[in-house]
Amino acid sequence: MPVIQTDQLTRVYEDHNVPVTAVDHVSLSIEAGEFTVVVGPSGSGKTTLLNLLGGLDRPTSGRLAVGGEDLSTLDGSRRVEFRLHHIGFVFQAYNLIPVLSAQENVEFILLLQGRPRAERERRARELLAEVGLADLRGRRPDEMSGGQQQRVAVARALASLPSYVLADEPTANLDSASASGLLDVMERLNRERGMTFVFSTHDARVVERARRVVTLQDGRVVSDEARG
Amino acid sequence: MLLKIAWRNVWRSRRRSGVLVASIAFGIWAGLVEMAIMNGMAVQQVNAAVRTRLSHLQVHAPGFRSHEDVGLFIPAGDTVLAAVRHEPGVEAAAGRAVIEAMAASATTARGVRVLGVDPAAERRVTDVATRLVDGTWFGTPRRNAAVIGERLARRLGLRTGQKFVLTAQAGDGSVGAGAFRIVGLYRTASSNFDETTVFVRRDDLARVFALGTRLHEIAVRVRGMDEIAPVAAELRGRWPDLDVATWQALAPEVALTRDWTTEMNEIFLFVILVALIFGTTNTMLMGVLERTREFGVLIALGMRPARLFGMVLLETILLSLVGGLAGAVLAATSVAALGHAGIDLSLFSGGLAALGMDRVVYPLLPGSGYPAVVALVALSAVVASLYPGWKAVRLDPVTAMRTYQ
Repeated sequence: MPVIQTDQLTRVYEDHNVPVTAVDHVSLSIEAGEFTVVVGPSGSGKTTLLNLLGGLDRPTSGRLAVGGEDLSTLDGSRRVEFRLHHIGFVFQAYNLIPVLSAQENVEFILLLQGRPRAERERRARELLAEVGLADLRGRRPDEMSGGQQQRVAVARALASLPSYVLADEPTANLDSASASGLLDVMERLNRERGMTFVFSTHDARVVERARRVVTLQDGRVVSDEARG
Repeated sequence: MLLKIAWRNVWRSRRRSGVLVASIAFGIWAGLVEMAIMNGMAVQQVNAAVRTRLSHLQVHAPGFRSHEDVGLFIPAGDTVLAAVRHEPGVEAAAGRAVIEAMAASATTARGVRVLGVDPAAERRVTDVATRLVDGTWFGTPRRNAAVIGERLARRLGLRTGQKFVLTAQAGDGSVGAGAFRIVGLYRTASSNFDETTVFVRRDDLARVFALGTRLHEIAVRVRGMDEIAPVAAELRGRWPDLDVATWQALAPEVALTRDWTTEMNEIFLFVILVALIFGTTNTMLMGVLERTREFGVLIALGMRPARLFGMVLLETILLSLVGGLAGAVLAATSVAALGHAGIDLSLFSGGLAALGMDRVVYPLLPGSGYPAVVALVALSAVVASLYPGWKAVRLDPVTAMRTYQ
């Protein structure tokens, strides 16, 4: 069974009373363990598609199923719960909680899930070690580089044991070395843990590593290319 | 962990939080000190009234309090007085013969209330004997000695050692008159009392005005304020035909002032808390608006609205409690210092004396007042957090995360 299944997924916005179709009848099937990149020019609907896949936005029409559950029919509070337990997010601007250390940022998701303290601490330690930040556990975001912050964000995304991780332009703010290091970490997690990653990006460095590239234009899928 | 996050968030904008904490601390300090001053004045007024003129309870014949008719005496007054002294909870009791009289000097005359007292017994129920500014409290064996207020003496143009004449209706229906020599002058907190009250020995009053052994009034001092109601109930039960009145009934204006002071304090505190609510709401709202993107991320990650609201609430309570506690500690220190040294209000002493208050006010606030006010600050923080919290939970994560931060 696919992890994500969309069927004629459509999102129409009202922009100054003019309807704008940001995602136009997109049908996709993403299997567990995929390392998929959604590309396309600005305004092609990448971010809107990721917001829909992340349960942050509701489709105007069509169906979105995650692990067999129809996400498009869930009400607000159930979508919050669903995101907490099934979806990991990595944002372009890292979006760590500035008053918390790296360790606490990762623990935070587990706290929201109601995990006991000992488990939270252990899992956060392990995940930070896995992304290569074992020595920076006590640092706050403003004491870390962009690349380090984004690795913390990856660890946070994985902490809740999600079904998949959505990464919206994760390398956009990073220099080449940091971007490369981050992608190494994500590739390894994908390979070793079988974690499903879905990216939206403009970044050729990300596209190079993708095993599947979905191209959007004007909200429509214009190509869906699998790579060896 | 949420507490830790909330605490750290409170201090993210140190200057803004500092200003709010200082505002809350100042408001609470001002409110508590004002309450302590008002409360101290009220307590002093009650104490002055009770200790100087009323004592805790008084026993009369029915109707005497409204008419002060010399014929309305307590039947078997001395027997009742002796029995009252043995009642549980009673510390002391003194009998008084009371008449309304005209006090005349060579130059002028004034209406006065004359209390015929047993000087030794009277000392145990009121403290006029300790408030002498000249002379003695019946320190002479000579007949017809009188202790009068310094103000009355001034009105009559008299000094200690000089005589004046009391004229009044006697107990036998005739008009009696007698010359009394001033042996002492007193000054209490109440100018009205000082201008209208004359103390003489009960024997002298009885002889001059044909009162015999009649008692019009028994003043009772109990062991503590808590004993007033039970002792009053006991006396009423034992002498149902007599009028037993507490100090509140004897001086309703004093009780009213005390109650009014309490209500004014509550209104003042309410106004301060409302002002704090607006200030705190404004600060928290600014914080929420500045952190729109962050809240959007929290919602996106799966933070439930109730939890997000709780975080805003917690931050508001922490911020308010810091200010509230600081204000309460400052106020406790100020009240302790001022309560020891007193605040000299001599500038207003005329007005204060008319109200029966001392010119030096000693602020006083019960210990329970401080935690109660801090609890009210926390409660006001809950109210102050409602709108910012509501704004936070209503954020759409997609829109919020697009916000520039």
